[in-house]
Amino acid sequence: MRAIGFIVRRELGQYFASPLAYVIAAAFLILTGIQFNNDLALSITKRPVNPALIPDLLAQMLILLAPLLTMRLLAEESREGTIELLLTAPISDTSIVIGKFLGAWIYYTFLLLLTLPYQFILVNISSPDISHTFAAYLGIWLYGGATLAVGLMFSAMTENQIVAAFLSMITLMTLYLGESVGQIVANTDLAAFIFNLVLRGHYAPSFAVGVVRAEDIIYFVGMMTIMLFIAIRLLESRRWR
Amino acid sequence: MQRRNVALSRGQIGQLGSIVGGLGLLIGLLGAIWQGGITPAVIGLLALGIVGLALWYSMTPQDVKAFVQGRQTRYSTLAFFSTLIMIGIVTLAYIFVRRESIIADSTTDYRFTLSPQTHDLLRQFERTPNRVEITAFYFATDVVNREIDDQYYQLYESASNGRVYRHLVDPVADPAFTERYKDILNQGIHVFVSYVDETDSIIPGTTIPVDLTDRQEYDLSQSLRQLLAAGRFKVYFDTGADEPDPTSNAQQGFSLINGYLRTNGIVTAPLNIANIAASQGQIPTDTAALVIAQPRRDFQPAEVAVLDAYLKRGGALFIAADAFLNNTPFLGAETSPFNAYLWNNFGLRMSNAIIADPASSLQTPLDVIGAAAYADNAIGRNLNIEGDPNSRTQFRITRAVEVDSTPPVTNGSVLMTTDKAWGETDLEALFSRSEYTFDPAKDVPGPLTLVAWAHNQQTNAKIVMVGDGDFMTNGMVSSPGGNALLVLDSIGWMTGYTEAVSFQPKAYQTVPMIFVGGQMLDQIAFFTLIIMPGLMFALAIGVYLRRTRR
Repeated sequence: MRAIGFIVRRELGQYFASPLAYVIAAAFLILTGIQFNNDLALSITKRPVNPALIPDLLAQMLILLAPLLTMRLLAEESREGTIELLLTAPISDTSIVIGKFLGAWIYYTFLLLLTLPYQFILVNISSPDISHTFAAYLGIWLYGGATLAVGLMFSAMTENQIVAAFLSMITLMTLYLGESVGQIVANTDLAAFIFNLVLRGHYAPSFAVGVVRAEDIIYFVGMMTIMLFIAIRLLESRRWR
Repeated sequence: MQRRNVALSRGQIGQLGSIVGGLGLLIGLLGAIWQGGITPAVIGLLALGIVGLALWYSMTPQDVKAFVQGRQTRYSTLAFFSTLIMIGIVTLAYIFVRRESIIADSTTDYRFTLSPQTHDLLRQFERTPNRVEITAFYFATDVVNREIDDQYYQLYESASNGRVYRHLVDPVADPAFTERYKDILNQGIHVFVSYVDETDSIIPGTTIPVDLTDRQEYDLSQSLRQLLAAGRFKVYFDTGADEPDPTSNAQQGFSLINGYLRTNGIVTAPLNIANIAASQGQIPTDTAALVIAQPRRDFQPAEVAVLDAYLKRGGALFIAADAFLNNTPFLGAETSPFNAYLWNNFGLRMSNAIIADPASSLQTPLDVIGAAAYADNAIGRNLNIEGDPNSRTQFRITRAVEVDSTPPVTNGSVLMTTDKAWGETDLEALFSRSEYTFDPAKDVPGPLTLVAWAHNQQTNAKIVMVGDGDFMTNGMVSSPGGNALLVLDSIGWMTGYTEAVSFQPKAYQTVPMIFVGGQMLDQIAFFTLIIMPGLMFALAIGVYLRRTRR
């Protein structure tokens, strides 16, 4: 645990000591802010506000955001050779991977918290369903964790950050587009099966509508576990390749 | 031309064998999974794989041994299988938890939790002889809605211990089954509740459509209530005075109204009052309501006696009378014994005046919409609602209904004209020359009653009287929907059907709409688009400057 804590602190230090982290946060706030104001303008006198607006938007943004946050995690260490230092340090591969993942997840949580002022604004001008909003935020937090784990796995696979980002983007796009599987698959049962395999299938019909299902939590936690497990095995493979 | 000899080494042949063998086995196994069994093609691929591997071993046995026993193979195999085991553990945990269906409804108004009213309703299905099937049609493109709705269906299935179960149908995969629902599916209804027999086959005539909105529980429970009430209410259509066939799908027929009633679980049948009167019989005791629509002649005293007996035992009568230029018009003001009977006993009668309303009309003042609907009664509350064009009623050449202000029973109006309307009494001029102008000496000044009701509290006899018969024909009920609502709500009120099927919904929280001014919007935009990102940019610059100063 101490080793994990050490890696997490190191990662967070890298994030928050870099101006890039704040530039990403600013860009993130501009994107979410535009969507928030746009929805607000459309809602006025016409319809109640969507409690899951920001989490719904994030579900799309994570296709780009997660690879951006994770592409350097292990790929950069490999390219610069610093991975050898880590591997020879008295820290297990598991600690390295989990520590780096937690660092990215905490930074993502920071980004998520930055959107809370939108909810405070809504509370002041309307009476949104706060518990519904909370469920949507919980969902997108877990969703984000799963996408970051996918990104980390690809970062462990290659030394090239661009390749890692590209592969994770393609994978996340595929996992996101599962909602549209019905457009290409005529069989509803098959479409439902595929939908249940992809990330959106465990967010859109549950967290986004205010329902917290244990199966969805297991899905996201399971996805993180599998991806991190593969990332650990990939890192470990450097010792015997 | 010089010939080149191509030489293959044992190593190359072995390598080729390993590729062919590996691919053959892999594709063969995938094919077996895809086909769900061993097919000749799968056997061929597996055989090719084995031949390839055998070739590899025979050409380069030392490579095969190194591959199997080598360090890389050992570790990678271990990594591969441990990953498979991890995926297996996670999948098993997921399947177990999914089967348990553990959910927490975090919506403020508990939209995904069945209310006590629904639990009470579902308990009633434990006593019905047949189980209930929720049949829901979803195309592959509706997969998200299917997943959301299915959560409700599962709640019903679980709360009723399987007495109510779900059947999700893919119209593409099961076109024969879908064909039976084709017409109503085209209207946008895709969920139905029906009784099923012991073989889980839907019992014909017991299907109730569910107009599923975002209040799924209310819609489903309401339809289940209708299913419970199905068959308990029987409405007869009189055909003895040359009224149109209630099943006729002609423009002037009543098949649409008939179909709407049946869709709500109300049984309909024709009835000949003239024959009953001739045989000195009585209106069947299972009659929940009797509809007399567009009779071409007036009722004889014997028929009035039959209706009197029926009303005295608490009957319900829906009368829709047209204006006809003949010697014995139905409910003729001066000539009709039935009109006199209704006036004396219920304080309602049909006048001979045809309504013209310049202020509430369509093409001509004779096409009356109905200006004022009385929302304080069960019939009028859904009609002519402002902002809802589908609730609009429409009448053509309508007789004014007279409502006694000192009636022997309680009575009242449902729909009125504007005060600009009048009752044209010169029918000859109106029908032959299309002339109608207000004559204060002869005509009846508005406002006039288009539809009226009466209720005898002692006998529980109920009457709804409409001064137009056309209004409920196929050509007039499909659009706008107010005419059909008028008939259905009248039948519902008279028979008690409305109370029987009404489902008291739980209080859904209505999230209020936002009402903020432009200035407030500008302030919000300034804060969220300038201040918040600006703060982050300021931090970025601060970090950058600190780093460069070092």
